[in-house]
Amino acid sequence: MHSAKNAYGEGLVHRMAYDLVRLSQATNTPHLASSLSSVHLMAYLYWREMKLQGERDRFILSKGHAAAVHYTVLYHRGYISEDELFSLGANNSRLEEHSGVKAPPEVDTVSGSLGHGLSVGTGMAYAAKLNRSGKRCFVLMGDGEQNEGQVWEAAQHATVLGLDNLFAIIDCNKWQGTGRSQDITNLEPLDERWRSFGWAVERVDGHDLSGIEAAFDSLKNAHGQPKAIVADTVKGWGVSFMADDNNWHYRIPNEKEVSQAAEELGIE
Amino acid sequence: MRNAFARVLTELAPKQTDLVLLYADIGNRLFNDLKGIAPERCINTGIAEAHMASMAAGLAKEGLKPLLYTIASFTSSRNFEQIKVDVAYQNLPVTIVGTGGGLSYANLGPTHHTFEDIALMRSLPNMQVVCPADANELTELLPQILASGRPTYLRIGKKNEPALCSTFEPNKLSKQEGLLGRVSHLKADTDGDSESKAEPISFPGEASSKVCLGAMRYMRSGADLLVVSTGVITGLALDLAEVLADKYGVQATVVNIHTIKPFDKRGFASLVANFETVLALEEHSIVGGLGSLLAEEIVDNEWSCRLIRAGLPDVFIDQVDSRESALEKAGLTVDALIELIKRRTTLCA
Repeated sequence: MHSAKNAYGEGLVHRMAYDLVRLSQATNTPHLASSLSSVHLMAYLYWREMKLQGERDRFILSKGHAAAVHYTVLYHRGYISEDELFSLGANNSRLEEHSGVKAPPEVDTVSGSLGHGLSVGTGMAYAAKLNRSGKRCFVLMGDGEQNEGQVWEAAQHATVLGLDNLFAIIDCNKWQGTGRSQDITNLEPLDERWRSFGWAVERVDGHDLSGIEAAFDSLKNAHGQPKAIVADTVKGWGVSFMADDNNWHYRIPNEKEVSQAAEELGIE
Repeated sequence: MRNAFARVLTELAPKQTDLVLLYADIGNRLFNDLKGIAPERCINTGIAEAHMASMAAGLAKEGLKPLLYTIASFTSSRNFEQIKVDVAYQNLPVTIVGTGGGLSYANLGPTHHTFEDIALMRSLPNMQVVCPADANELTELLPQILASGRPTYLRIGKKNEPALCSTFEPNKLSKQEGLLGRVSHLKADTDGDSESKAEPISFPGEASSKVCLGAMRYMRSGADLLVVSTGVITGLALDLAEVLADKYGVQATVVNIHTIKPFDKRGFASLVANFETVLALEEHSIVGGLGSLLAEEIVDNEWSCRLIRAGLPDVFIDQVDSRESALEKAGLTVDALIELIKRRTTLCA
């Protein structure tokens, strides 16, 4: 069961999506839909792309409200136990709704205030160059988060520094807290915006594992440039009654909804 | 003082290879020597102070010791939230250097005045807050700050700050002008520091004119009035003490609190019992700075003494040609302070 759980592929993604739904219900934690939209991207990063041992790569969940998907990944990768995963949000738990300083060591910075992560990542990537450690830094952001000016302060600087070990992954699930991102700040074409800042950019279907892999692959050839993946995703992916429904930004499922999700995701 | 900062950093950089300077497009030629030695450790972030602070946190997480540099208000108020979340909460060894604190840039208008930084920074847990009074203090304190490995806000002057002298002589303290050696007990344990629980303070104890991070610095001794100041305006405190002595026969002890946080509670407790009146002096708003800090200490410990808070009034100061003109508008001159003392006390009657 353990190895089947961890084998990379759609099975894994479905399993993690189900875990997210039941985790939200069991711990009364919101922001479920924001975690679901990132589930393929997180699977790809933690099973295929990032170096997890030794001088390991850095990962920053800049869209910090999706902490649940980060913790779920850490569980499936064996860093934390199932009991600990389900302690999310409890008193004295290492797993808080937004990761803090008490989070497990695999969490590389605090998050929850949007827009900081790419700057922190710029610092980590630059340090890696100074130290010649070979470490790379991956920063997962949301499309709502693109509203924050600080994102662009970091974006403009990272190109000047030539940080080709810095990756910005933008989970474009088309929604933010109170409405469609495009309606609130007219961010499209987002990939063009990143390109205009001097980043090497690929735009992908954020729920297509092989497409994500191909995108990262083509970015390997971009030397001297930081890299951006603009991923088109579905907020609340995997569950028909949650998909693209912004009520699920805050709404927490009940037990019946958890069962329905299990059925849809093919979980026994 | 900014030249002293650049000089000290340049001296430390070759051996302390973890030091990295970030600056927000300011300091034209100031860091040329440092850039000559370690160009890869001088990072111009552009005019992007929020990014600069968070980037510093990222560098610190990877084992480096970053220093930020720009005008004080731009790396206190402007990027306060980044400092709060990424630096202070994560307790990272980042030194935030704000140049031209107070009214150093008076004639550039309130956009360049920094009257709020001490209030903001001391409200952050984990944050050290340091205001050297002259270039010599900065030279002594900067290495100590870096060695402490703690997040620190360092408010420095701009240029041409006069060097200050301490006339304090510790071995003469017990015989000096009637200082009685009474002590005040610390009552309150408001910051959870169990060491400060109601223990008798031995006075004069470690009273000293040395420049030690965390300890108050004794500049002058006198029995009639306690003047407590921070930063460059300590020069005015000493001028005031001289005029008080010469013209009114009033002898003032002048103490310089370069380390606002962590505050030398025991040092202050050892002084406060000996004076009826304490005058706090700062080039900072009377809201939230040194004066407020002393008020908190006095009230928490239920000491009875008169506290006079002299600082920048709760108004924006504009249309001035210089720091001197601004200080005059603000009532921070020897004459204005003497009037204040006359209004509040029977000294100088």
